[in-house]
Amino acid sequence: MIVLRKWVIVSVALLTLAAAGLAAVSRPAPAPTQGDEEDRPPIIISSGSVILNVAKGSWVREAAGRFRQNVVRGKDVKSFTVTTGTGSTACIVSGPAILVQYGANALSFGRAIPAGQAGRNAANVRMPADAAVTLKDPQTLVIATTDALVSFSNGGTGAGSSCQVAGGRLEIRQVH
Amino acid sequence: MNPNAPRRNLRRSPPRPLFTAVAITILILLGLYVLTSYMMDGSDPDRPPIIISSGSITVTSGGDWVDEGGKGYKHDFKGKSVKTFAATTGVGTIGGPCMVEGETIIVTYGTNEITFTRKRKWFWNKRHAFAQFPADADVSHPIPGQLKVTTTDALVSFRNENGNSCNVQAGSLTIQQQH
Repeated sequence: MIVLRKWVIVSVALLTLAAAGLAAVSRPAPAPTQGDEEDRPPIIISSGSVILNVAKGSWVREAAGRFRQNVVRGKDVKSFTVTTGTGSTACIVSGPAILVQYGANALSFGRAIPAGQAGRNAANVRMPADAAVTLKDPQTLVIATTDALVSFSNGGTGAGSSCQVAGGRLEIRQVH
Repeated sequence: MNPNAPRRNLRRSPPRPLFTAVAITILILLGLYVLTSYMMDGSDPDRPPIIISSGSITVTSGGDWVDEGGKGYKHDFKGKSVKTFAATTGVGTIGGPCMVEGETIIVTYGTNEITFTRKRKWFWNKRHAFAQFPADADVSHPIPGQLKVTTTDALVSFRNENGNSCNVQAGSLTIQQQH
């Protein structure tokens, strides 16, 4: 009986030591109590950039924060028609100038006649002065920002002059 | 000199016929230029639409993210054990904030999902956040504490394990780790 009790005590002691050893191996530093530890920070998930893409032609830097959409012998741009969403939820705005808002910043689309283009207007976009813009490839401009696309407008105030961006995407058609 | 002789007009009159001819030629050339430009414009290519879209999604937090393989990332921060998550969007917007709480938060972008769960190595370890991205996601780790998914899909919504959900407002949501 005594032998059995000793065996149980030794076994329990050994088990306790083994568990303590394992805990020490998996957690090298002594664990402070829950109250002393730091709160874990919030995880923020957001849009990481805004991309301007064209399937034809290229973006040409004209000045700091200013790019022209160049198409060789491209037609004269008379106005823009901007669409977001699809089907019955689509929202459309038209005009000779378009303002696209992302966060508290804006991209300004207009028309300008560049030199050597036979007097034809081309689309021109002006970025915020502090925008981190890179020309990823000739057809793709990338603005590094955690701000999401919010809305676009033609500068008017009436109905049909602005839309909220749906699904993080809008399409600007160049009207000839 | 005979004072009775008729006086000659010393001022030369402009050559009127020549002036008219030059003006007409310029007008004809201008007309031809406009006509040619118009005709050529018709055969020239249409300018393409300009597509503006969200280009990536970032997951940012204090501490860092450790790649555990299989597009799974452990949130590395020596802090309290995570009991639940509280995901919020739309703070300060007209629509007002929307919040979902749970042990799992599933964030949808386009038709893809990022799943945030709690994990621990051994039963005596503290639980930490774990982010699981789609198998084909292009995930990079540009700076400590930030993960970047390259995608043209926008953030759409998020939900908990019970299906309670919110639509993402203003392209951003915050997940609080609750202890």
